[in-house]
Amino acid sequence: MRALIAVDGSDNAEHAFDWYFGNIHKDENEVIIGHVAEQPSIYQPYFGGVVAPFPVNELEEMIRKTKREVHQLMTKFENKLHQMDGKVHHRFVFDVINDATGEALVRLADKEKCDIIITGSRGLGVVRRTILGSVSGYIVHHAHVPVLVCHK
Amino acid sequence: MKVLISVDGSEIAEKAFEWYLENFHKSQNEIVVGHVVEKPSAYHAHFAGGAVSSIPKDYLAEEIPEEIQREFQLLKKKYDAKLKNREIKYKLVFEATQDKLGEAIVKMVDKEHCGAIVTGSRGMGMIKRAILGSVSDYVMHNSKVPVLIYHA
Repeated sequence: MRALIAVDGSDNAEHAFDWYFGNIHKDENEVIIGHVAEQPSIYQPYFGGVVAPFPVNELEEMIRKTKREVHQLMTKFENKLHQMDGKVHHRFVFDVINDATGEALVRLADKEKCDIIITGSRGLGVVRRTILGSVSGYIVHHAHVPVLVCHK
Repeated sequence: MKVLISVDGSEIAEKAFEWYLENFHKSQNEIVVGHVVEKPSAYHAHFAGGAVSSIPKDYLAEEIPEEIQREFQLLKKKYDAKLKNREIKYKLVFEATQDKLGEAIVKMVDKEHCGAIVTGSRGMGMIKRAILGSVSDYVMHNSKVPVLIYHA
């Protein structure tokens, strides 16, 4: 079985990852650790007919930040995988997108022909009151394969 | 780990069950096949591995209506046939409850000390257009343990 574990930097995602390996994983499974990084959109201010200079520095800084974030995540999960008994067939897949994170993850699952998507119930989102985050919610409603939602 | 597989008479429930067995199940898991039916007054029939174990103390003079008894028998036969010869530890818990179905299922997870729950995305509900049935939706939002939602 090929499993997509959708992760972000949250504890919830880490818990979902741990739970999967603690209770579901079998040696013959292949695990895809998928992360969709959010990149806020860049816009060019346009005042009175004059286009402001393209914010190259900001753009570079944002890219660096995203790269750092992605690298941190990768390291975190690589370490966890190294500490496990036996070899785990796994791959990291990253995408960077403006919004529609859920959509990107469902597309990823389709593209990689995953048999299941594993997600935490909530991630790093801003709206803390909701029980089910917007990304997990989207995945549950739109995935074409079974979805495992891990609550903390 | 004990896993509750929430079933009704629908095909999705059966497919979810089969999917669980093929992809999720580990030999150390114990399966609880749970089925709840709404009833004005509560009667709890408890089947363990093939025989009615005991009549609960809160048994009312009123018997289970015949249709519900028949439904239970049919489901019992169906799932017994699937599990009997496979050396899987399991138990069937069928309940006629005064609670809402979603609530009853979440309570069953607690009562049976299950570590995960498997449910179809939709069951036999009237609103066929909904992507996620009301019971599965409730369970997904209120379960304290991971929920596997199986889409058709």
